[in-house]
Amino acid sequence: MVTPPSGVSPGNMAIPRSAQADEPISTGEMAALGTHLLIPTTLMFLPTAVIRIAFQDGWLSNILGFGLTLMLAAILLPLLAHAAPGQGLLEALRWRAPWIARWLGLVFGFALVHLEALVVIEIGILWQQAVMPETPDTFFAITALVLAALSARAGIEPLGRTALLFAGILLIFTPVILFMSFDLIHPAEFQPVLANGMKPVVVATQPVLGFGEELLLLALGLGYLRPRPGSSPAKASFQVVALATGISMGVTVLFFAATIAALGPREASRDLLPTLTYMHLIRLGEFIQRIEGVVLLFWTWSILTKAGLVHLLACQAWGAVFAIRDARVLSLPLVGLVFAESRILIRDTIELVHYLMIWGLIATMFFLVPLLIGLVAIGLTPSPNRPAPPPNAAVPGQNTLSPNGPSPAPGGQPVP
Amino acid sequence: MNYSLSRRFRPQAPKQRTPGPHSASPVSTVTPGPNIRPGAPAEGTPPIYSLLDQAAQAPLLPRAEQNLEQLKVMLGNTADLTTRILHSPVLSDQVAALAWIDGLVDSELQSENIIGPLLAGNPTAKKGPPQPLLAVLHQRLISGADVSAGRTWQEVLTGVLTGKTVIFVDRASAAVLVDTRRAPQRDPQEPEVEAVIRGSRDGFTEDLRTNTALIRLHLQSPALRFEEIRLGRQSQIPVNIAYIAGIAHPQLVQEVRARLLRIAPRFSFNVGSGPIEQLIEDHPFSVFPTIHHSERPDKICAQLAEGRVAIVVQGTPVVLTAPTLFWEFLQSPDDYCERPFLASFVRFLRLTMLVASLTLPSIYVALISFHQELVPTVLAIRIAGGRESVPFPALSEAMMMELSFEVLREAGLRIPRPLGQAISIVGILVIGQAAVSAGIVSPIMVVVVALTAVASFVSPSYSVAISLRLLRFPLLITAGIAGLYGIAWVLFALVIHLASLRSFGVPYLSPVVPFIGENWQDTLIRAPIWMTRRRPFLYTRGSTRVAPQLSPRPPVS
Amino acid sequence: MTCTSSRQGTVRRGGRHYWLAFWVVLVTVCTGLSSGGCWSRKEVTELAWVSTMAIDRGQKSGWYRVSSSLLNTRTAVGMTTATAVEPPEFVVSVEAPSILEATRQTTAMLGRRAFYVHCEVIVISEEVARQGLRPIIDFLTRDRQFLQAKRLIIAKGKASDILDVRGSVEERVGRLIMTALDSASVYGLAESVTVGQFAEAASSPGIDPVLPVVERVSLEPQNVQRYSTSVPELSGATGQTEQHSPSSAIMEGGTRRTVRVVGLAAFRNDRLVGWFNDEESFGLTALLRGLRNTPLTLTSPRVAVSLTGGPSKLRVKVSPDGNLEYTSELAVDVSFLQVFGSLDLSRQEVHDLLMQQVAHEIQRRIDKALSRAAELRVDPAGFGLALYRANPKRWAQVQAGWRDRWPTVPVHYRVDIRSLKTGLAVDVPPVSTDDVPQQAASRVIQRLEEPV
Repeated sequence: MVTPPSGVSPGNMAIPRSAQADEPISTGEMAALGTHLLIPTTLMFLPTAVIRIAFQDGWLSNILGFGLTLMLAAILLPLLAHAAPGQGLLEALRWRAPWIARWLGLVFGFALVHLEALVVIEIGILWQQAVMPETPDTFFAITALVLAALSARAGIEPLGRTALLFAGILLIFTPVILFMSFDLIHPAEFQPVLANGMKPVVVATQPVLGFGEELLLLALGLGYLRPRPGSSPAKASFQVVALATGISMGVTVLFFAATIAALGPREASRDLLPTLTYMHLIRLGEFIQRIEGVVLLFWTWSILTKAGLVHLLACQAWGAVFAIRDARVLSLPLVGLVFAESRILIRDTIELVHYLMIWGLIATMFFLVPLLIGLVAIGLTPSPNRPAPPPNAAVPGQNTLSPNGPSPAPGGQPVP
Repeated sequence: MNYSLSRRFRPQAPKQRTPGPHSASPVSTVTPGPNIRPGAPAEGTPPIYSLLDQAAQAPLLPRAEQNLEQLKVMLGNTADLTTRILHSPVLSDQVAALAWIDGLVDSELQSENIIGPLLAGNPTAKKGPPQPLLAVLHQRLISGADVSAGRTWQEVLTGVLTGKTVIFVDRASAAVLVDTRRAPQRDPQEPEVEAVIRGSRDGFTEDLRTNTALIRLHLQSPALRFEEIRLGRQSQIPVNIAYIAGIAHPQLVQEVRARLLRIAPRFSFNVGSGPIEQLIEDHPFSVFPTIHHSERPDKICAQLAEGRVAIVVQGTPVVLTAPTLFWEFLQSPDDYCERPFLASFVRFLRLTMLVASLTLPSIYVALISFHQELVPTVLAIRIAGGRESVPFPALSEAMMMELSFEVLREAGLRIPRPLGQAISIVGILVIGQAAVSAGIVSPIMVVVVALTAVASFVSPSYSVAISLRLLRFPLLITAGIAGLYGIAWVLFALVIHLASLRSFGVPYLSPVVPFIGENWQDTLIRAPIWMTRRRPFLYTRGSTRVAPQLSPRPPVS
Repeated sequence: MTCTSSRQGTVRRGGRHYWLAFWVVLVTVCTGLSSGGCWSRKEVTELAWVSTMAIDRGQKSGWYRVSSSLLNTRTAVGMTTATAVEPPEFVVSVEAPSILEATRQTTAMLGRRAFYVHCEVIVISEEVARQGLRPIIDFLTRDRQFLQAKRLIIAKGKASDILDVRGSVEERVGRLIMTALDSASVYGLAESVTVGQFAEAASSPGIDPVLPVVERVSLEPQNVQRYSTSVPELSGATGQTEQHSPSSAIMEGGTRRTVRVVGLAAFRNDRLVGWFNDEESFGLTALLRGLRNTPLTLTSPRVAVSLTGGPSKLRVKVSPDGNLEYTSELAVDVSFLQVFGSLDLSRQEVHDLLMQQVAHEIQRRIDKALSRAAELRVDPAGFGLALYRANPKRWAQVQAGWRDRWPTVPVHYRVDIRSLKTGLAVDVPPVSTDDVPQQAASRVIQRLEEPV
């Protein structure tokens, strides 16, 4: 009997899979998805909101905000996983309190469509304003949305693997990029000054917390999480939260500090995309003029992963509203909804910056509060008879190899 | 969702097992076993086949001459069917009718082993109590090694068509089939397309048995198994599934078997292993090959020892292996002969070149027509200067050059070898010198195309190189439309697609994603042999390959 | 929802998204190609590459005269025609009420789109700088073609003159100015300042920016013959045709010209208020950016040394009653490169004396720079910023009138000579006279005092 190495769920085993709607993914893949839920937007748009409030002390509020996020998510998600193991929030509610599930599905459905519209707008801003000004915004919105819908349709497993791949690339490149910009960094620039006391730092924590609370959306996808053998769902979800927040916080704070140190707090505060401006400054000898292109590539991948995940979760939420068995059929219809919202939501970048500065409040209203309601509802309602165990559970006895040739088990059959 | 294509195979399986009342089409019932007999005629079978089918089900006739005539009728009096009627003294002057296909049979072997004993008087046979004729033939007379009984016409036909000599005797319930095969075949040679520096120098041939023998030669394990399945109702191509029992996962073997059995009764393409590959792969619409192939016995044996299953097909030197991981296309048998550091470096190089062969032209197009700011000033001016006289936009220029390279490559495959030299010189002149001096192509573009071309040949696997070569064109077009964003878009879609692929249930990108750290030892890097302790986890459950403490160390004095 | 899913459902759904992806890609490609896609595409041959931009004051009040030095891409790959050697760059000037409009007018004038991404240096004339750089900086940081990494320099006199140079080694003006700046930073005269750094210093509390100053100088007339014969049609060019006369700098009077970095310009916020000469620039650079192989020649004793070290560490101490006190430490490595007269460098006394002299000289230059800054009422060394960072409350109190106040604050300088290297030779070459080598150290030191 060989125990599987870390990161491999038994669901990933060789051997033809049974037909089922959603494949579970490992802790590492879920954590990578969480990381991509946080990183692209925090790297790109968080500095805009935070440095405007807290200047060079912004990275302090970053740490503070992420710390709060970690606390929130590390309590709530394991709680959910403990109360309803192997199920997402809406899924768990569906067997306990169907009406609450529907209403919460509606709230989450709108919130997620809203969030995805924002993500699409952000992709548009990143590419249109910063790189290709002549190309219409709509082009980026449509292409990004189509890709998000396709990856949502492909399911959680390809998304999780893609996220893991890109997370690996990100983790390799972060120190490289920081190392290359070593001579740009003046440490004096980001020493905390606290000219107006802690107040701006605390105020700036609000948007950070808003960006961080997006991690709570993983509550909808917890049903996909397959804990490692010998680990409980609660523990696995805690690991996911800790990994995702830790990585995101590390990378974001590092880039935050480096951006402030390289640009200076005042210049950074008037920039639309300070991190991108910081990337403009980095030169790799005379070989590549700017590493900006490479960074843009990774950012796009990361934000597309985020869009795909949000799209999948949105499908889930709407699926709960309409009680659809496999919510991914909603993937394409949702494209129209998100596109329409992304066209009417934000008119210009100033509006976006202002909107991001109150994102903390909105995220709390639409992500945190419904999650709390759901948790309370789960706590109050008795646990019903579970309809069925997760269909893809490891088949006992599969781990041993019969010494000679074919096993009598029919291969093409779905595991009952 | 992502296994949907692998599931396509599956709906057949329950139908075959439990043909419900709704299954209108008479799908033949397939029994797993070494030899598959054709059942009831399937749809679209030519009439002659159904006649043959019916005849083949019939029992043998009592008289030898009748049987011979029947065989001639069945084979349509084909010119290469040779018959002979003997009156054998040993069989109390009964008639023995022989038939064989001329050309498939070793006549020396035949006369020595069959005709000689039959015609020579054998006194001992006359004495004892009368024995069943067949037993006499079997046990006393025929000195050939492989002697079997053909009880139905089907068996007789199969035997005759594979080079056996059939002997009909009067009033016998079965015919005797003696193996006298000597098919025309070539000797094992080193395959040209998979040249290695330090590997073995033999290669598979077109003959199935030679190939299995080569595998046995390299891998003399008692656990090595070959299972035979015949594909096609009439063509009856023998296909062997090879695996090492106890290493290959039984369910994997079962899946390979099931997929081959699925196509067995209806298979009618007889050109190499390609059609089989395309009929049993998981994702028929993917551009990426999910089944690997090789002509090298050493490579196949290494694959078998890693727990894979090989599919050896009669008539082609190309042996298929499954499951296949993407990273296999970066690996070459040479890697294991070289020092680990060099091998790892070379693998890294191959990966880089694989990516380069996919993206280089599109990155060039994106950079010079969208993102001029990303090019260093001096280089940018060089490029601009070189393009001053070029009348086409960068995208058209790149498309033109890439297409003309593809044309040259394809032409190079077809042109007879003596002419190839001339053509390649013309190609070099046309693509390079003349195009540049005529001012229709910029010099940098030539450099890019040449680099791409060279990069696409770095991969040890031809099949993945051509997949990427094909993908280069959509990428080029998107890069021409939306610059780097287009590249990012297509690459993301590509990664999603790759991540959703599976080869016989094994994720295509494993062990990178899903991450299995243990198996990284032989993926992108090639760790020292003594460190690669475990077999790939996903299809062997990570059984131990190299015992611990195998690392070499100087003698303790 | 993960739970139960019927077989039919999955099978029916299976295998579609590949086709979907295929169609989507196809449709995207077709629409992209047909509906006038490729919006942002600009072929390199549609671009006019600007290597340097110079901003002068225009004729009308508030207008700018923007000169762009354009790279001649035809010469880039050595595509010279038989008749003439094409110049590597030429200059186009336009007048416009805003820089944005000037870039568009340049485009209109050239027939190709003026492309500023590879413009590395922006030269600003003294007059424009005296009016304030804020609007220019704002444009440069807002437009995506100009990013913060562009370098700013100030020209004494007309900025377009700077573009009108032809160096001896470097053919292109942009490169020439960049190399001049790089070598100036080696001399300790100036450091190249990017747009972003300037803007940050101009908007930060308690620090004023400085910018390097260049001027055009003539070289010896030489090699003119080659140019004048190879470009005959341009030999009659006058200053009037500057816009399209690429080689006018050489033709005019037959001299070759180059640029020289002469010092730093002092700014109060974004307005130019005065200059630092080379000694003052030396002192200021030592404070701000540090020295890198910067040469320094002492007059007495006469030795040439090369200095490496810095930047200085500025610390501020706020006493409880609100008084400020600055300390600044500068650590420098010294290596001898030329020694006049015979000095016995192996003697400890000689060492000590030389180190003292070097430290004195550096300190003298810093003092000069600071007194000049005080005279101009600017704070380029960032005393105020140091206070803001250390004690923002006290800074808020003294912020008003800080430029008048900071010269009164005591600043304690310490220049530490970390090490003394003598290059590859230890001793001076012996002079073959009849004099017996003097043994006594006192004699050596006495010699040091002698006027050379």
